[in-house]
Amino acid sequence: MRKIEFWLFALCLICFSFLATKTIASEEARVSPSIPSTGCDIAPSLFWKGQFASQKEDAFRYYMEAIDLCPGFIRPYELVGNNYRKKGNKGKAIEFFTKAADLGSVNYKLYYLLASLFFQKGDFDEASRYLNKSLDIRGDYPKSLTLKSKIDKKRDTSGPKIILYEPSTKRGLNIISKHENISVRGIATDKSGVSWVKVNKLDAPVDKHGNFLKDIPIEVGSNTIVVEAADRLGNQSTLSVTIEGKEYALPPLTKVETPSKEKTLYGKSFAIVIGINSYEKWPSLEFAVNDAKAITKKLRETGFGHITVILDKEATQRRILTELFHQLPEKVGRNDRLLFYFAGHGQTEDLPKGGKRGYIIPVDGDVSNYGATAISMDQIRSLSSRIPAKHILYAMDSCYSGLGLNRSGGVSPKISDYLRKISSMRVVQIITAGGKGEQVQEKGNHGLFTTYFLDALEGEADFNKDNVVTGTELGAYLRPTVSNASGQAQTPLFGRLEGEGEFLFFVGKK
Amino acid sequence: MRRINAMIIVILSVAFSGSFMGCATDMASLKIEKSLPQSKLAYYNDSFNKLRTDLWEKAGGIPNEAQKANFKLAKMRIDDGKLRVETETGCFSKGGLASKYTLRGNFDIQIDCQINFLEGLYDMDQLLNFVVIEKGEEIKTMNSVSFCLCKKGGRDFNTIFAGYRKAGRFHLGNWYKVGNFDGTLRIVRIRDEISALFRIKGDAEWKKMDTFRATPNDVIIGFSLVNFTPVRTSITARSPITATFDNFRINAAEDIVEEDI
Repeated sequence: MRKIEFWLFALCLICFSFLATKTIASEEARVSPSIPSTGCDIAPSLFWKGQFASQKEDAFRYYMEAIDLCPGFIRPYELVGNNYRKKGNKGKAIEFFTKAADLGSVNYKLYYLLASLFFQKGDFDEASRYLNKSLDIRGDYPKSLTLKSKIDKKRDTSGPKIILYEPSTKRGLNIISKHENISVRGIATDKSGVSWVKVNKLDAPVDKHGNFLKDIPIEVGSNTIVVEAADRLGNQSTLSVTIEGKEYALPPLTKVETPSKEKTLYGKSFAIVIGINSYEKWPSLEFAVNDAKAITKKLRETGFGHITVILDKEATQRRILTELFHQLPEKVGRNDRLLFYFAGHGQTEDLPKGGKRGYIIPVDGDVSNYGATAISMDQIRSLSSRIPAKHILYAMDSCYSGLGLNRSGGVSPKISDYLRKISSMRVVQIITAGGKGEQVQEKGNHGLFTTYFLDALEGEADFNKDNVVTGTELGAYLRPTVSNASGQAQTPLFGRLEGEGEFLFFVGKK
Repeated sequence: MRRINAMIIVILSVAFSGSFMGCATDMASLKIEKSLPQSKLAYYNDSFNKLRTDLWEKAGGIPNEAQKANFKLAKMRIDDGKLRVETETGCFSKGGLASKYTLRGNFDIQIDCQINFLEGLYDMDQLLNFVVIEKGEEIKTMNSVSFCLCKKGGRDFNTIFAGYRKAGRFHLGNWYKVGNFDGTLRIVRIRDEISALFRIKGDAEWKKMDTFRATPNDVIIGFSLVNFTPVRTSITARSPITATFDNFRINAAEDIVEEDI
């Protein structure tokens, strides 16, 4: 019985196989289209034979056959070109690589290799062109990035261009004490990027735009300031300026003993004092209003009889501009002095064509649109042309750059009747709490700048004890004092915007 | 006689079908210990939103001369974020991609694929491959491991199988009957042991097909859709077949070696 079952099973299998084979065979016999293959259908097969060929010569032959069969097949050109490259035949390598490129290859390695071949030939323009194409396709390809720095180095052989903003004068600088720090401020630019800047061998911090600022000591006599800069490729450049430091022996001149003396020097004394803590859109401040109030009190003590105080929500752009440009010009006369004090946010804008513009931010200033909603330093400066006051001082407890300060010394204190002379000459001076990017610091319930401003008006800045603090003395006192007290976090900027005179505070009398 | 009939049915069933008997796999034993970081591997993952020519060559190997005489590359296009391959009719046809780079050491790779097998075709085969191929060997003797979904011409069932080629000979591993496939194929190598796993879409667990002692050497990766098996010498192929590939991932790899170009 078992034998019968086995044979029956075998018979079934044979029958099934036969029927199946016959059916398939008859199907194939009935339809025999035989579409001839085109070269471009077969070429990848040859390409793969080349890929798996153990001999390079065989691989080369297969790739060339693939090209013959399908001239638009990009990949074999790349591999043949690479074969030539490895053999050192740069000309043929470039020929095949270029063909692949012309056919529209999007292989970043191809363009890198083409760039490297042109680089080796010394054709840096072509090398750069192909390298950019490689990086367009894959921007982080390490080999391309390495080659890029090599090409850049070959093409860029000059150091950064250095422009000095400050000190902006070659005239003499007055030095009140034996040593004084001055700010060296400028910009270094280079197409390869600026690596570092040094001022008199001291490292100067550089921002991403190349702006640098470094305080250095100067002394009486000839001071040479050497600014060195290097780009990322190591190319260096140097700029040097020489500034004469003139001894500023504070004048042994007339003391201001009585209010009558003050009255002979000035007609009326005006002050605009602004303090803003509670901004609508900018972060709140803690002590600005407090500072404004303290300054107001101190100004009253030192003879300012016409003080306009604008605090917090009153300090809108409109209100401040109205005060400055409509009300003050009607009140201030030729023999008057005007102090403008502002405690609040400041902002510096990088201008599209280089340079900077400083702003004070009113209470309604917009964070994203301060250009339209704030008050620019250009506007503030233009105030001086509208107001006939002989002395104007802007004291800003905010940080700015782009003020275009002039550090020229003005009239020598050694001349006779110094006070009378400087008080008769027009001047517009400015002092700010710090430069761009610096943060104003606080001490007690005041900003650090205002704290020492108040001390200065207490007589601390009266270096020669003549009961007068000049604008220059104020700057000479506040710059190192605030800088040191803040650990160099903020260094006041001081200078004159126009004129040769001096703003005068009368101190030492209660 | 009834007893004989019943026996024949049982024997035929065993011989021709195989039952679908994948089982959950212990994945811990397939963990790659010293892999490149995901940040580096991510570059090689491909979701097929475009044809990444920086990663892939067009597959196009043709096993014999008869096939070469009547061969056309299959149509390939990116369609809805997937690579869609469609074979030509009236000829031997193949389409797919192979990696420009090689994998060195241990690795773990996977790809989603979907194929609906056509019924009633005797004049062609339907074969979807996911393979790793040892580089540096002649094409006829190269070692490889294949993971395939297949419907041979004239058969009324489809299979999923894995096998390896060594010294020019193909060794078939486990195979199971399978319906239309929509899922993920995965290949893991630890030392010289290469395992093939799959997961049907929606399933949580992987099922291991087989493990082969194949090769520890550098391999390229390939996947393709073909309308013929290597032994077929004639074809009519009146219908195109279509498959889609998506989400190729290198889950882990000890090293990836790129060519100069």
